[in-house]
Amino acid sequence: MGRRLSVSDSKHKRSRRSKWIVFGLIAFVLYGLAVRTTDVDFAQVRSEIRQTQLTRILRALAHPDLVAYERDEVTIEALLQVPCAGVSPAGDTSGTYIELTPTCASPGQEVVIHGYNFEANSDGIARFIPDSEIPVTIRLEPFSAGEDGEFEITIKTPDRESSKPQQVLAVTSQPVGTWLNRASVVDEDTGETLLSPRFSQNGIDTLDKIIETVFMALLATTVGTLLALPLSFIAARNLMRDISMTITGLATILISIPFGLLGGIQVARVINNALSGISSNSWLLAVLVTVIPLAIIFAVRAVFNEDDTHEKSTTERIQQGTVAAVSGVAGIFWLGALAQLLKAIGHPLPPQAQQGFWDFVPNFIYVLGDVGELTLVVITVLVGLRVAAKLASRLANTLTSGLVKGSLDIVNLPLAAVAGSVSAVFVMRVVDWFYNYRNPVITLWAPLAIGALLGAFLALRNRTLGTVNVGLLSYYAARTVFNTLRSIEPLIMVIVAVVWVGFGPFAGSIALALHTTASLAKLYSEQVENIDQGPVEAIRATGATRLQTIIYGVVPQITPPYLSFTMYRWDINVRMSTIIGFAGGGGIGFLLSQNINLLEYRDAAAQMLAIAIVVATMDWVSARLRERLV
Amino acid sequence: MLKVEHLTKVYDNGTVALEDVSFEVEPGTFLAVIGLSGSGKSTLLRCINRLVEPTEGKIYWNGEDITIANQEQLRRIRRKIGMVFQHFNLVDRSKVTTNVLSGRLGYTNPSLSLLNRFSKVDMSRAVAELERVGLTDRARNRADSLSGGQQQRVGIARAMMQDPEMLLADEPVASLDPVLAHSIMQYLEDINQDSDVTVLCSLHFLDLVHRYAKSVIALNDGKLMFQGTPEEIDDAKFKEIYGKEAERVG
Repeated sequence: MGRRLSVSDSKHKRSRRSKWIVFGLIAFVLYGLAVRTTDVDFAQVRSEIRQTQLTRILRALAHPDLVAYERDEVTIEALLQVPCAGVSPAGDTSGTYIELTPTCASPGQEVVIHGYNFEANSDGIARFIPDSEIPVTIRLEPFSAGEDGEFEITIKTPDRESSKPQQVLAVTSQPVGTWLNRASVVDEDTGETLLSPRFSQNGIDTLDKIIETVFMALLATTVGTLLALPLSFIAARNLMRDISMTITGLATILISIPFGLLGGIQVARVINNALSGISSNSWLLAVLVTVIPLAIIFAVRAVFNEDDTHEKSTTERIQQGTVAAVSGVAGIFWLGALAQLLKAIGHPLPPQAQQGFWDFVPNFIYVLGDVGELTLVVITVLVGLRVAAKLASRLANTLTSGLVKGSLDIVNLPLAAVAGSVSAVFVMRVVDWFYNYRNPVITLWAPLAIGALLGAFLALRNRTLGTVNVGLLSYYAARTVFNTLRSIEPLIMVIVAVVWVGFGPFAGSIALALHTTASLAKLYSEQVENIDQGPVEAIRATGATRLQTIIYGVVPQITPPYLSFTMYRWDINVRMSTIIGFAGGGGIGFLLSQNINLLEYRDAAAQMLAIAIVVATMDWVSARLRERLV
Repeated sequence: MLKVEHLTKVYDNGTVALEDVSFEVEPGTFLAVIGLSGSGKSTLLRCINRLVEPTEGKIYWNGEDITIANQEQLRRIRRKIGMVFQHFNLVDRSKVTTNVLSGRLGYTNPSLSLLNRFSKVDMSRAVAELERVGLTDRARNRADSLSGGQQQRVGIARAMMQDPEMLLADEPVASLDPVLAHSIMQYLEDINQDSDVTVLCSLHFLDLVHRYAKSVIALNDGKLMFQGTPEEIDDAKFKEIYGKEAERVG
């Protein structure tokens, strides 16, 4: 027994060893190919030219162009005795000074000028002032100070003899003022008073753009969160898997979709038309905006009970239905009126036209009105779809109630066929929009026939089940859409957005918002899937509707992770919006890419520094906030 | 009157949780459901309010077939059936009051729930229910700050908010110590006797069954093994329900 074991043991060992050999071979091939295709070349790394270039760029990056100084000419003097006559003059050795060696020389003799405490890397020139009636200067040699602010040049003593010591000057320019004691200098060309030191133009632009960047991220995160919130429920498996529908119900709802869509758009158009008639009359709009909600509340209070304990009577149903319908339309109308009112109060401000700080207020009001107008269309279409679906399912119920299984098939088959046709034509209309076929066979007749066949086939196949799991279908559809959208980098999305709305931060915000929606919807939905099912089950057991179950059983559980993910996403968006400008999406990336392309590395360094500061701050703030909230 | 006929539940993964189970429960009965873990007790209780969809069979309650009820009918049925769980199933992050009030959701207009509101009547009812279980002073606390026994009392208050005709209790005391177990069982007994609520309670311990139940059904591997009074469970029956190797404890 023990022997058998040892045999199988060594066999096992051998197979494990050969496994490692295979792994090693695979790794060798993979990394070999990787090195080849990525052009790894260490000769470049060692090359002296490359290294100097690297030093230059790193030094440039270490000196971000943030501050501008006005410069002033500075003269540093030392005395030189030509020729030597006993006493050699001593020089001043405090602050910026130069030292001559020797301090006396005969004409033509070499003298070394050593400068100390000059501005690092500054240039200048050495001059000789002879002792003469006429003011003349003799140009000696140019110098440039090193990193340590020192220089050393050798000059030839000019042929100007005198009994007095004569002046040797080092003339250079130095920045004026310090941050504590700023100097103001009048520009000779423009007559403007400039402060020195001050933020350089590049520094000001950087600040401007980094603020733009943070706001882009803020907008994108907000919009993305708002859109992702409802969508995340569709992408949560545990909420969706139990939703199933009878074939009849599904077919009628599919048929109802185009009607709901067109109906919704039509209603939105009618409401917008009605509103555009009174859009100039702000007072009327204001009255509408205040009166409509009051009327709705009054009507709803009158016919709806707070609890729904008893079976509703027919008159009650009719009353409630009417009130619900009328207040629904009135509610949409109210939103439209509010939007028009906001647009009337505010006024749009073209980009770059900001004058006073508070100019953003009317602009914001106007934009809010615009958002309202857009939302109105979306809401109306959604309501249209919902109403159509509700009517359709009601119809389906009356159609199928009391039908036995066999005759149900007779109803289902044609219904499913029609549903298939309608959906296929609908899909082909969308495809046609992209490809512009201009051929009714492709856009109408073929989908009509194929859809009908497909619908009938599916109805036949699912006959035994009788129900279709719509929830899972929409779950998979939503997941696919989110994953696809998420896999497209915002850097690519922004290209489309730029074509749509033009260069600038708006395009960047759109791209980021879209990406945020997709990824937050996915992250959120995973949080929904992770919740404790127990409380949800308990709430369901009380007779709560699906909506109530979500509000009381799901929402309290997902609030902390949702907040945390939103903040995390804002953090990511700040980071992403710093580079989105590379593709024309505004923000600091635009400036950065420009400066890199112009080889202005010191300017680029300022932007990189700004990005680093903002990202680090965001990181810290969001971590802190998450800690506090969760 | 609850009547279960030929109830079978096969889960998607092929597990047969219940197999042809039929029994009747007279109104006002305290019925204990016993059996080993995995014998189908939980599934049975959950089939009655259709938290789990039965595969086959009928469940009649007050003459209505629960298994074919549509969403609207199911809502009306469920709100008359309270449920208490082994792990209490409170919403941890919500306040105790909110948890109790959520028992009222079956009666609340869904659009009102959107605004997180309950009627004044429901509010005062919640106060009364919390008083009944002796937790008035914890009303504003978060549910997860309560101890296990307290949480189960909140669970009972939530179920009682439904004004139930029947109470399903899925091992309500299995996560509690014996002292707390008796206190919780006494609440259920009171509900059964004073409010005349039918109670279906799955239990692990036979002494609890003897002490509280008027009638017992026993499941083994999804099949109904026994139906009768607690006194009828002798050693032979016991072995039949719990298997040959089982020993009686407690």
